[in-house]
Amino acid sequence: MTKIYSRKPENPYYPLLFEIIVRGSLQQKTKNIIIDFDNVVMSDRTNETYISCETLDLKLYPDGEHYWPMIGSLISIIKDVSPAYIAGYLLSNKKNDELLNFRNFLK
Amino acid sequence: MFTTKEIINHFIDRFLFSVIYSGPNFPLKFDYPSNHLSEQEAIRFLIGSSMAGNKSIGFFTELPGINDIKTVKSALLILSTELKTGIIMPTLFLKDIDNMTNILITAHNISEETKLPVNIIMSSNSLFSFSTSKIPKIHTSLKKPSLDKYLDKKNLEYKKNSDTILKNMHQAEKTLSKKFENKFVISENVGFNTLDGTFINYLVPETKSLEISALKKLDHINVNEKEYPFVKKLLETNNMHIEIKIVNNESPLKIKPILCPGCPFANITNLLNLENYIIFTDIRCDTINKVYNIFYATFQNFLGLSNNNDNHLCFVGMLSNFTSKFNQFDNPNLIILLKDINMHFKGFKTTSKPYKIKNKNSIFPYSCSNIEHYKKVKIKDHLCKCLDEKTDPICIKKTFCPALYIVNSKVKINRTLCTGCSVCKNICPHGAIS
Repeated sequence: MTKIYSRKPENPYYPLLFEIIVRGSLQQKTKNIIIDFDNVVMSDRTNETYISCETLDLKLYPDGEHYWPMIGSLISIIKDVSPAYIAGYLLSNKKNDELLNFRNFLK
Repeated sequence: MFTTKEIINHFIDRFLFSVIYSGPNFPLKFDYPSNHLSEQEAIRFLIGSSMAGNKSIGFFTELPGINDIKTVKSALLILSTELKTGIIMPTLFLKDIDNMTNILITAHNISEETKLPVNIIMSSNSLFSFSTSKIPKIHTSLKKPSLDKYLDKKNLEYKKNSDTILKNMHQAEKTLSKKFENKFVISENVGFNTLDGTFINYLVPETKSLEISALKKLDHINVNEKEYPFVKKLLETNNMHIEIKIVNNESPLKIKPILCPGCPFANITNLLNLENYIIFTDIRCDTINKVYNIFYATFQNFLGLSNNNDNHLCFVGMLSNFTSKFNQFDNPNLIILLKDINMHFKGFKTTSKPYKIKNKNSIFPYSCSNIEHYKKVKIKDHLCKCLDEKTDPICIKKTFCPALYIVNSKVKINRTLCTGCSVCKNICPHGAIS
């Protein structure tokens, strides 16, 4: 089961904040993960699994090229999620560089 | 999956709305032409157009206060995003995006049936989310309402109208209570903009709310601090005496403040040295309030505030909200109007470029809703020294511009976002931006 929640942004360029609750595993474990796509989070990050350009040592690209390795890293944390859907999307859209970056961070 | 905007656009197409208004600060941007009406003016405009038989829909951040409503000929839906006390029309509360289509259709049907305007208050969860439920197919039997040549004079008579409204409110309550029967989950956690918790589905003024009455079974309820005034008033008007415990369930994530690229306020505050001024604006933007300490006030409020006052005061407002009668007041304070329409006033000089703004009454070349684009700026890497000196880059720190970002200890510009407003160029202490 997936549930997506959003917050009202303060202005049209304010970063969108989504909270996605994914349930489906039989394991009785929960994990909070913050994925900071645009390097905008200011809060204390010590209690959460935090993915950002800084933690992955990535450059911040204006066209969002760095999003794909971040998604690869996210999927590698959630063990029982298959990367096939995203890999399939990138492959069918001939986004070879993005696919390579995505796969590099799946490990 | 469907986004909020897709669902609303589909609904407008499906139900053949012909008059559409979107307020300047409504968080979702639609492609409908702007008519430059303020929210206060627009609500009356929409009531008038639906009285004439046009199906009308309006999007407001906060529903403006109006004293009375009128019966309409065709459906009038008013979508807003803030919980506000003093509800005067049947109101539906949209907490979860999965119910959006259902709520929109219900509101349309109630408005058509009872001839009353209907308000839908959207939670922050429902504004930028994704629905997994299907959008219903277009019903081919729906036709555009035919406009009568003459207005129905009965609708215009105040006395008859108020009697009819009361009768129709009861009709609306009856229909809605049937529609939402057994759909209200009683819980001590009451929350509208929160992830968890329950909230009423609807409210009709002048009638008893069965959903609120159901809360009688509880000793106390937990309410978010921001929603406390609304819930308190709701219980009071229904003669309910339940203890309300205030809880703080705000997201712990703090996000860097970011303004729109080319924000008029970034230019005005940084270029005019307004440190000693108290600045007011009639534009509702939480970020400018936070980062530049700018207060919300209408121009009428500002005129009153500046009476017999020795402070340095500045007002920044939309040109379309300003009228020539305000010029009758002898006001010594600084007034800057943001040009959202083509108009001129005596005593105000229009500036051609944002960075040419001067410390006197003037018209800024654009407003928040029509930010102009100029020649984009460039950064000379060898002169960009703030990060080398281990200090925060002044350009990012003072402008909060999303076009500026840091890579490899150098500030870079996202040329897609840059509007060429040049505020960063004018405040860079090293002359690194040209």
